[in-house]
Amino acid sequence: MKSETDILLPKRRAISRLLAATSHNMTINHKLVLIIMLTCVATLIIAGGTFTGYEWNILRQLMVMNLSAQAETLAETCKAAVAFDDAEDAKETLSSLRVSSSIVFGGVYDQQGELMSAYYRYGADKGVQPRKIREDGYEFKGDYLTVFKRIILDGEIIGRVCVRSDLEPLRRMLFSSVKIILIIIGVSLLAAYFISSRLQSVVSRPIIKLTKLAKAISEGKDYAVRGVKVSNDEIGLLIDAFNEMLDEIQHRDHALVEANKELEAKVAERTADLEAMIEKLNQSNRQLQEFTYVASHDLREPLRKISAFGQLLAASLSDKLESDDRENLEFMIDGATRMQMMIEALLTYSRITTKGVEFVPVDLNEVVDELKSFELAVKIEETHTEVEIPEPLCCVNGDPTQIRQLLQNLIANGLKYQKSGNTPCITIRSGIQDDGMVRIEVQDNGIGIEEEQYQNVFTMFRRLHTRQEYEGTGIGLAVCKKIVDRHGGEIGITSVYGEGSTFWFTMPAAQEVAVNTISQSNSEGTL
Amino acid sequence: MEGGYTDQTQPAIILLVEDDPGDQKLVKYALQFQKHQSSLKIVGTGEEALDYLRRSEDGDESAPLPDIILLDLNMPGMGGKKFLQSIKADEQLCTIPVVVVSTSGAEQDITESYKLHAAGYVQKASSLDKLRRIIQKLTQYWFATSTLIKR
Repeated sequence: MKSETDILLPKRRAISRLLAATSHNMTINHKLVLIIMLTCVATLIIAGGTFTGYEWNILRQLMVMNLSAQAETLAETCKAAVAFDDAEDAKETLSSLRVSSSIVFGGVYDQQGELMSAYYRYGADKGVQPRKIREDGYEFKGDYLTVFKRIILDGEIIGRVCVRSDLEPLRRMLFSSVKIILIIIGVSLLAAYFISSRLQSVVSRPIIKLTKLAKAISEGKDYAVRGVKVSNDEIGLLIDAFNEMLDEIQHRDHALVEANKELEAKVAERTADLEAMIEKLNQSNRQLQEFTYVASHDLREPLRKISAFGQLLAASLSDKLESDDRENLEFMIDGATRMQMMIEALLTYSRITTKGVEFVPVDLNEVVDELKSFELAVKIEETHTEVEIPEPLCCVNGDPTQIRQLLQNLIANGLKYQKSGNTPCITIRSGIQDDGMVRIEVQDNGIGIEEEQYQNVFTMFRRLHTRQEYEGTGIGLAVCKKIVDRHGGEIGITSVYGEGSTFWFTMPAAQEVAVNTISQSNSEGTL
Repeated sequence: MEGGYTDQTQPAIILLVEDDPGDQKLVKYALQFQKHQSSLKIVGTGEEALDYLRRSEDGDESAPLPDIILLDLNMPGMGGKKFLQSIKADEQLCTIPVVVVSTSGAEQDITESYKLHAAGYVQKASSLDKLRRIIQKLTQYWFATSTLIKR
């Protein structure tokens, strides 16, 4: 058993591997035909081989029997010739062997085993005779069948005969058998091919159908189709399993579509919510703008009246009022005037985000030049201020009007917060930081700020000094911070108290050099 | 007093379209201090102003055709912008320069006014002094520097 598995199994594996290799790209119906035909050939070869072997055996027996009979007859006939040592007679008797064409040699031996007389087939040489004499019996050796027979007279062995035949009949029989088997194999193969080509479809058709179905589904994504089951065999089971799988896929597909729809609905809902929120925001933005308008117009109107008519009153009553009353009136007018200024400043502050324009490249050199010759011209002249720009300034990307406002506030701050009698000196520098932002510094030689106040200066309405010391609304630096915030930059201060401050801020650098000049729109609107 | 057609005997006529009595009074007050003699006519609304101008065209002596109109924007009724639109659409009246005098600094108001062919836009001053200066500059420009159409 062990040897069988050891030898057969690898062989079987080799065969199936060979089959697998040759049939790798074959369609299933061709494979089936091939398998059937191979089986058929194998069966026929085994059957033919067995049959031929059997026939071969029978024929050998027959040849032995015939030749033995002939040798027997020869022994009987030669008995007298041997007894009388008559070689001629023996030779004559031997010549009767001529009738059998397959006999190549016949010989009569005396008691001592010497060849008395011999027969050779026509054309055969002496070499065909056996070299040794044997006892009774037959022997297949080489291409010959040899039979020995004793010649017995009165119970005494007086000699022997030998007859030798070639195996031509056996060979002929084998040849014709193989021929017939080959013909049968050929015919059977044809028949097997035709029959199997027709019958293989029983197995292959459902599989091919299933394959086509699977392909159509994978291409068309239609999971509603089903395979038709025609038998209860493995293919039937396969189709069942396939259909179950399709059920599952269809179910999941459906679920997916549903989930998708749900998701879309949710997205739509959220979008609607967001839109509603945006609409709300827009609405509140509009309301804020309306408020700004109301504040800029309607709220200022009565204030303007208070200060204008207050001034009118102060002028007309100037010589009629007691000094105390005059002071009271002045306080009133001053309060109204300051409130007007604060409302203006507040509006400026709120406009930074509502009225901002898109960012463009801005050349800071131009901005400073224009500030020096327009907005700050009077103050610079009055105070004999030096504005120094050691190196040309950078270009930044921003809102031109707001950058102008920013620099105006910072420079004006430096001019304003000075010790009395000091000549203001403002130095402006710029440089590009590692993060690509431009850093601008405005340095003054003013009164400076204590470190704990650094953050407070940017808070709205937060003033560090009394109005008697320095006039102001306390909104200038808050406006600066809001402008810088809008540009995505930072603003800060470093200062040595009593010696001066440096205000710095960062702005995105301009991609290209500014070519536009900044409009004059920010200059005094009133005549 | 280099140019201009006005002389002291024939004062320029200013039509002030302003609903606020305080502002009416303030303008009247500020005009007192001007060198250029002017006669101030005051109406309270756009409708009244149109009515005044119609009477002027009809030759009503009590409503002489103004040389310049000072116009407030926020008024009851048709309002300043509608009034401006109406007279600029009128072939006769469109030649009268209209200077808008408003509290509003809103860009929208300024742009719209100029689009409607306002001759100028002035924000109302916050102090009496400023108002006086504004009126002085206005009269100086319109009655001394620039040349107006003879009525």
